[in-house]
Amino acid sequence: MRALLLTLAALSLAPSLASAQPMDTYGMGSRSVALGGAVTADVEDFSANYYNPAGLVRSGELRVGVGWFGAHHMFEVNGYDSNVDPVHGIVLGLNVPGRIDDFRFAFGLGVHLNDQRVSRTRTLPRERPRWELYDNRGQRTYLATSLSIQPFDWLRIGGGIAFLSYSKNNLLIRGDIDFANPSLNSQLEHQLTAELITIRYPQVGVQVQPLEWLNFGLVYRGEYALDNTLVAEVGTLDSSGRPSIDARDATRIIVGEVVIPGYLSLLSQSVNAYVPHQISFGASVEPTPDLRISFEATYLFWSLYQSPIGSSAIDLRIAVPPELQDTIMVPDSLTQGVPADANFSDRIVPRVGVEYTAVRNTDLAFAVRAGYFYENSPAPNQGGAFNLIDTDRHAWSVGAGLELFQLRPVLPGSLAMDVHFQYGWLPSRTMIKESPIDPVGDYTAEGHMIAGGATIEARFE
Amino acid sequence: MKRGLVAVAGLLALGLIAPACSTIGDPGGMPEALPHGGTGAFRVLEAPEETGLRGTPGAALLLLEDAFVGAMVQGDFVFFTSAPPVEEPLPMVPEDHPAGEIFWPAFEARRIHRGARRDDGFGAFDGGGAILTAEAAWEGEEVFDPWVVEDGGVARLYYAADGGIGVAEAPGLDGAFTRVGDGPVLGPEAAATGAPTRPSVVRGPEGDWLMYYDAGGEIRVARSSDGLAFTPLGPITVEGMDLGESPELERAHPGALAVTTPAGRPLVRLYFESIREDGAHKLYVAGSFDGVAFERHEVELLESVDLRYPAPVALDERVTLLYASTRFNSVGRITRGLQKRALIVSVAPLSTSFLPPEEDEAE
Repeated sequence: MRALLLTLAALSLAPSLASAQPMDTYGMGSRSVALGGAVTADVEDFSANYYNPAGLVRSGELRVGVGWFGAHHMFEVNGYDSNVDPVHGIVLGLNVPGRIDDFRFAFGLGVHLNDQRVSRTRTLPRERPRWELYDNRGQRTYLATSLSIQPFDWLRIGGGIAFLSYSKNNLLIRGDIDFANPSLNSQLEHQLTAELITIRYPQVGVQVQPLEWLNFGLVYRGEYALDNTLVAEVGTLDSSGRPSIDARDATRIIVGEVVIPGYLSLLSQSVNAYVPHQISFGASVEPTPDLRISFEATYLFWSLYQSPIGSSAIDLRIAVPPELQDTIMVPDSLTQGVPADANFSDRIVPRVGVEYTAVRNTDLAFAVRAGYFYENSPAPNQGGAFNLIDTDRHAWSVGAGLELFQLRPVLPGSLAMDVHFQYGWLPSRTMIKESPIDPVGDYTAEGHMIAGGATIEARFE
Repeated sequence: MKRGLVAVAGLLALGLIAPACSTIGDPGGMPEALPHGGTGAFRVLEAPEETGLRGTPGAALLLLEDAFVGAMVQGDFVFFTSAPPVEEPLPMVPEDHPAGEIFWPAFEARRIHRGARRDDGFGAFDGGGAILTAEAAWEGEEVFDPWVVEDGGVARLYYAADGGIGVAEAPGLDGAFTRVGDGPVLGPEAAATGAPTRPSVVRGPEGDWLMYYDAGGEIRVARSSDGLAFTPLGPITVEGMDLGESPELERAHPGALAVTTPAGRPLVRLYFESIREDGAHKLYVAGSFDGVAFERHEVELLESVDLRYPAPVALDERVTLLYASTRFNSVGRITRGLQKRALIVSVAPLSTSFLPPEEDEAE
């Protein structure tokens, strides 16, 4: 056991692979999602790794859970399908409890692993409309490791660190480009270097249980932003690192008999999949042993959003032959893209969840659940050149859970199976443009999303 | 105990593997269509995308012998200025005749033609026949620059002549047009800068009729409540950046389009010809909330040095067709080698395709 604890402790401090945060949008674990995410006060399964790490120590059981989750978006802009990709994958996690005398603690691990792609970054044209909170945000793998302690019977404290990464890509192309027949006669070398560089963000939480039937919870999740850097170079640098268009091996554009040495550098920097600081406060009550009601409010500091509209710098150098000076005009300078402020607003997300245990005996327990939350959009009217589409979201969820107790000798504990279904409605929102000649023009965005999943969790006494 | 752990582990592994095996990575999705403000860029449609006339890509109307200019499309008809060649021998074209300009002495008096949409291609029209020739005294020798609107089941044809802008009406787009009134609805006194030509009429944002017209290289606007009695309001104002390299000398030949945005806001888009210091005729667009004060889009709609008479048609709230005339050297027996013009049609957004489904799939 000690070796296991040491291993888990080491795991909790080690950097992970690329990770991010689809959980804010879709939740984690069937029971928690079915309750509308209003579980900060009393969560205790592996989803505590996201909702409130303090809850990991709550049950005192070794828990191993695995499940599947899927979400499908039906988003439209002016009646046309935005084709926002679905998100689906495996969720899994574990709670490993420990005790030193009366001092209880637990380690936890929570993972959301997309089965379509581990991670995706997208650099879109600056003005291109995109569903800012859905387009790329869910295409991430999430990994959280946490530690929870219970200094008193009524108090649990937990914290964790998630390790994320941003990508830095460098594309180098050199050689000859045949303008007339690029696919056949061009001779180019390509070199692509992609780095995933680690960043970290914290999450800490507390659960307070003053009475057996009353719980409070508070959690803070840190901000993170994945910087997306793309460097594309077409050409050659000299020995001092400066663009060379005179060297013999300079990249050349060939038009018939004309050979034009050239150099192009593009540097694009943007922010991808930003998640703001957020604080959740929740409470749950059990007015009867079979009924649990929870409320929660999450404050998200979206006003600190660093816009995805990033900067770009372009360096173009072409040595135009004298005979073509009047034909080929090389601009003295090219417009550089500068970051644009997103002007998002903070928002408060209210949540409510109800769980009713319909059957409870020595063999099994069966519960039904329902939940709701409302997210007002932090995005302002997109009246200018940029188009970060977002609308409010209402989400209703239902679910059920079956827990089997009499599984010895197969399982010295219980086996819980949970399912959930969630429907999200994004009511219509119209963006009004300030300019009558805006290239995109006014538009109306709306959508629906459905999500579902199932989780199996083995609970060892 | 050991068997139990193995069984539970097996169950969990099954839960892990089963959904993972059911999915395979997909390439990322892209929007079915993005909203578009009709500002360009436009691309010229190609055969067989619009005409079906192999060998004349982009031509929506091409007349072998007759001169053609200044078309606009309403419904299934194209209305344009045309004139047959004079009897042979044709007069010689002077060496200093401007590039892109039709040499009108080689043709008879201009009149207004109507052509019907052909069945064999999108946007392709036949040459049709004359529907209006100069008859009234105020019209002088010629009528030209047609613009047709439909209002309450009546087709109303605005046209230019020597003495201003007149109106004729027909019971439908395919009907016979008869003049309304004895004189022009907008006379030469409407603008000090020149006689009004190229009328372009739309319903304005406030529901009244707005007529944009060219008066000596300046675009002006007149207002009417009934579409027949117009009050000149003066030149439109155009603000905004112009990123064209050669300075703009004149704005001419307006083609107006009234649209309602998905937000329910009425707008007027005014497509116009920008005549540059280097002699190029380029197409630009400006937009207005009130129909008088415009903001221009900063870059040209369609890369070319000689496009004239823009005439827009909104297919829906995001797809706009833009008809315009381009330079064309005649291949007719009588007028061979004469500089004439042909009608092309372009579309925005660029991603719009009118290819038959099987050709789309072939790509």
